[in-house]
Amino acid sequence: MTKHTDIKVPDGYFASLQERLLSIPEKQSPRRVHLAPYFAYAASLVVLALAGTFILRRTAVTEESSEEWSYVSYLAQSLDPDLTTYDGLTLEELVNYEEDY
Amino acid sequence: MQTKEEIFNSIVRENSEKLYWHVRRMVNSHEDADDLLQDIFLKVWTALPSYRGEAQFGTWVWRIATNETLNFLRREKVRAAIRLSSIDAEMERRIMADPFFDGTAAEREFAKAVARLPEKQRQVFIMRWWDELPYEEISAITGTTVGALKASYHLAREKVEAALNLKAGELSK
Repeated sequence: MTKHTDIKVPDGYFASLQERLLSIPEKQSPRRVHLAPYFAYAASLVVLALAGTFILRRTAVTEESSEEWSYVSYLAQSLDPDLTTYDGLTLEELVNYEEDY
Repeated sequence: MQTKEEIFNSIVRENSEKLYWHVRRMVNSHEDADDLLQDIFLKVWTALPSYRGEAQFGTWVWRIATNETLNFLRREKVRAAIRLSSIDAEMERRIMADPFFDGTAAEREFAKAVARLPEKQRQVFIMRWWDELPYEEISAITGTTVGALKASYHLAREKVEAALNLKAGELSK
């Protein structure tokens, strides 16, 4: 009986098999593994940038609010309680008054 | 000094086709043989740094291949048992349904008789009959003495002949 004549393989099979087997080292290359730290580094930079932006925005809003609030408190303490004096004042007078004080 | 990749490439070039035929004869399926070859060479690539040189590269690769194939057949045996079938019936079904079988009815009966041999006896028979490996090389691959291998091959041959004679008797009735 002649060897291996009773079974066959698809056309060009051994060439394609060898090609696939020879690509195993490339597929198993550790380069893939080294990509993970780069992704982690990039992700942490994005997180830091987002956190920085958030903190800056929060700080800006707080300063603005506290400025407005201190100005209103100042007026309330300096002027009469029902604020009737304000009815006859112009904006310029109010500003001047503030400067003198 | 060869790099790991160069050594691997030469192993693939020298052994892939020979190993395909061996594995194909053991599992009786082109698809399974193809999958197993991928697993075998992946294992060779992974184990290459731990190769200590105590055996020839060819022998070492064949040893990995035969172990992987026997493990595969053990898993198939379990799968067959779960289906309330047997590995012999599964191998016979594969031979009968193989779209790549291109032989005569007698060759099909021969393949079936070989498939019914116990795993290790079949391995030795295939290595001698189809792969044409010398006993010394089979001994290095399997870790069995040449004397034991000769006895195993002789026994396997007798079983195959008996199966073929039985079939011939059935057909002549």
